Formats: sequence, C-alpha cells, structure tokens
Amino acid sequence: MTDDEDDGVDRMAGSMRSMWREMPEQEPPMRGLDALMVAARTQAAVMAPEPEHEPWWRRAMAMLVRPPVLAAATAVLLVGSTVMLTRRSDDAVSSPTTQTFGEREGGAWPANAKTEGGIDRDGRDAAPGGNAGAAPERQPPTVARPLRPRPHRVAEPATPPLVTEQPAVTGQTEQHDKLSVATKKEDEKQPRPGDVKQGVEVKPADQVSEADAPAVAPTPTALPAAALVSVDQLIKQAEVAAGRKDCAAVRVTTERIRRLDGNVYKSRVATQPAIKRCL
Amino acid sequence: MFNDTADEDLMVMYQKGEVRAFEVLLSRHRKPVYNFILRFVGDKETAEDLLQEAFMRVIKGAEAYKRQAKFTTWLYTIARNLCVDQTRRRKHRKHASLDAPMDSSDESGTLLDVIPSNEMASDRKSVNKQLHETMQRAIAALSDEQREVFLMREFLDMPFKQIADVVGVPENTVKSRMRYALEKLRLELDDYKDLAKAVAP
Repeated sequence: MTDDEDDGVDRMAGSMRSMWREMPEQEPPMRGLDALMVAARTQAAVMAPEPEHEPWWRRAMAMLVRPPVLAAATAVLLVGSTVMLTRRSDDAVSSPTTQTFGEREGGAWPANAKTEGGIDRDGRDAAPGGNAGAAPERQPPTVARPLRPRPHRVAEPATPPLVTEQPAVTGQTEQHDKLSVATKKEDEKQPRPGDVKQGVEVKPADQVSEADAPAVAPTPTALPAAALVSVDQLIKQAEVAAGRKDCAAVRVTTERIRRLDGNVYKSRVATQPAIKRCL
Repeated sequence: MFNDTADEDLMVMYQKGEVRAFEVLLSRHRKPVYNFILRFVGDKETAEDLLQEAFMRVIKGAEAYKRQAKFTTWLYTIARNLCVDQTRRRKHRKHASLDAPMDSSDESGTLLDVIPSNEMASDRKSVNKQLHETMQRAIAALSDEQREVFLMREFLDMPFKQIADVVGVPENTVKSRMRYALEKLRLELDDYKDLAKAVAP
C-alpha cells in the first residue's frame, strides 16, 4: 500500500471526520491515582540503581578530604603537639641536670686524655709513650644521653673544680697508697665527680649541701659508690667544710668516713675540734 | 522541569528511580488513554478499571522497557490488549442487547433511545448530543479489529505503521481494516450527514 492509498483512506474519512472530531473528550476520574503513585514510587525504589560499592580505601580517602575531618585532624595535631611540648618542658625542669664531662669541657673525653704533668684524669701516672702497659686503658666515660632531646635544658651554675682534679694538679698521687686494696680495685670503676652515672652527676663532697644531702647520704644503694672515695679525701673535705662551718656537709662527710673506716674516724676525725663542733 | 522531555527519556529516568518522570508521563497520557479505552469498551466504569490496570502494567513493566521502543506504542499496546480481553470476556457473558444501557450511568439512554426519530431536535445542544450518541453507537457497531484501528487513527492521530505495531498485524492489514471501518461508518451515519453539517461550527 502506498501513500496514494493512505490519501484514499483519509479522503474517505475526510467527509465524515467532522462528525467524530466534535465528540468531546472525557476527563479521567481521579480515583485510583494515589494507588498508582504509591505503586510507582515502590517500583522506582526497586529500580533505582544501588550506589556503587567503592573500595574501602577510596571511601576513606574521600572522607578524609572533607573539610570537617581536616579541621578535626588539625585540631588534634595542635592539641597533641602542645601537650607533648608541655610534658617535655616539665620533664626538663624536674629531671636532674645531666651535664657530661664532654659537654662541660666542650668535647668528648679522649681515650688517653692527660692533664698537665703527664697525669691522667684518674690521678695516676700515665705510662710513657702511650697508654699501653701500667695503667689499664680506661674507656671514656659513657655519656648518659637522655632518651629524648631536651630543648629546654636548665642552665647549670658554674661548678667548682672537681675533687679528683685537685690532687692531679698538686701531685697528690701518694694518697692513693693509703687506700685499701678493695678501694683501689674499685677506684678504676669509681665514678668521679663530674662523671655521670645513670644520669646523676656525682658532686664533690664539699659541695654537698643540705638540700643535696638525701641524694648523697649513704643509702643501701649509694653506699658502695661512696665507699670508693678515699678516706683521706673525705677527711680533707670534712676539714674544709668544718672550716667553712658547713656542718651539714661535715656530718655527711664524717658519716661516710665512719662507714668506710671506723678506726680512722675515731682517731682522725672525731678528735678534730672544728669537726667535733658540727657533730 | 520535564515538560519538553520525550516520553522515552522520561521512561528511562523513571527506570533510574525518578518518580517525577512517571508523574509527567501519567499527566500526559492519562486522558487520551482513558478516552481510547472508553470509546473502545463503551463503559465508564470498565474504562476506569482498565485505565488503572494499564498504568499499573506500565509501572510493573518499566524495568524491562527498552529505550528503542516508542513509549506510546508500548502504552497503547497494553491498553488495547486490555480492551480486547475485556470485550472478549463480555461477549462470552452476554451479547449486547439493544435495550441495554450504553454505559453504567443512569442518565445514559439505550440504543433504542438514540435511534433517529423523525422529530428533529429543536436546539443545537440536543442535536449535538444526539449526534454524539449516534456516533458512539456507530463506533460500537464496528468489529474490534476495525474499531481499534479507527480509534487510533482518527482520535490519536497515529501513523498506520505505529498502529500496525500496536495491533501486531501488517500495515496493509491496518489500512484495509480502516477502509472497512470507514465504509461501515458511512452507512451508519449517512442519515446524519446533513445533521452533522448543520451543527458544524
């Protein structure tokens, strides 16, 4: 059938078309419209494509770059940093000052460091031509490094000359002869004033003040270290302290002497009037 | 928002969960589909039920709808099949009686009432009503095959090709049916030709 045939059909209808074209259109009822829409919504929910399941890391990244999360992370970082810095400052203030020999002298302790006159820092004569031979090689003191850097180190007041260095300068090597054998053996391991052992600096006895007394006072743990100090040195220190009328230091020093050697205490310490006044 | 969107695009949107797209489709096609069904079955109540059922089927079948198919073809295929099923069921139940009401409303008359009498309606309104009822009766007198083709061609302005797609027969068959339908209508309405010319604006 061609377009001509279409025209023929239309021509047939044309004469009558006005009759049915005049027929009014009926409005559909509203009844059932709600039910249709409910069904349409239900079906739409079924047909709606499910959101794509992205991998967890992509969802996490997307969540992390959201402004509220970034703001929260920044806040946590700031608060955490502040707390950490505050704690470090507190630690630095409350912890004992730990200044090592190397730090004090401006350098590390050399393996064969000698003082003037060929006497090493232990007060012993160094073997000529080097370190081999008489004196056992002494390892440089282990520098007690704090675990964490302490940016706020409390400035330490100037320290008077160390006790062990005084005899070295004055040639007081013979004093060692009077030390007991045990003391001699222990002396090589003995921490000297200025050395650092377990983060605590050993101070000269004459610098021991009332406040420092508990730390230096002979305690079950502190006694072996105290015993290593020579009795003569302690007597000297006690005499010096008595001369300064620093009775606290005198009491601490004499107590150490008494513990080390009761006879020496009775014969040489308790008999001195200056010391006696403080006891 | 969707006023200028093609039916097919609206249907695709509805498939993606856009209920508003279906609302637009409903508002566009509810009235013409209803009138098609009403003229096909000749009964308001049945037409309402079939209209509801037709759109329900659209909703249920939306998921399977393909963008390539013309929406109106699909919609009127559903409506036409419902109408054909309905008329078949009715024919099985009882044959149309000349003194049966033309539709369920009490105001509607019987076919005998609208058979032309020698008395001409005095005023234009009553003439119009008489003409429309006669027209309705003449359409109802067509066979189902002729009626569906006639309704789609003359009231919905569908091309023969699309009618052929809806009905599921070759285009030539559609044209043939249309020709027979027009011949029959001409015979039925021949007596009212002059009347139609008189009431024509």
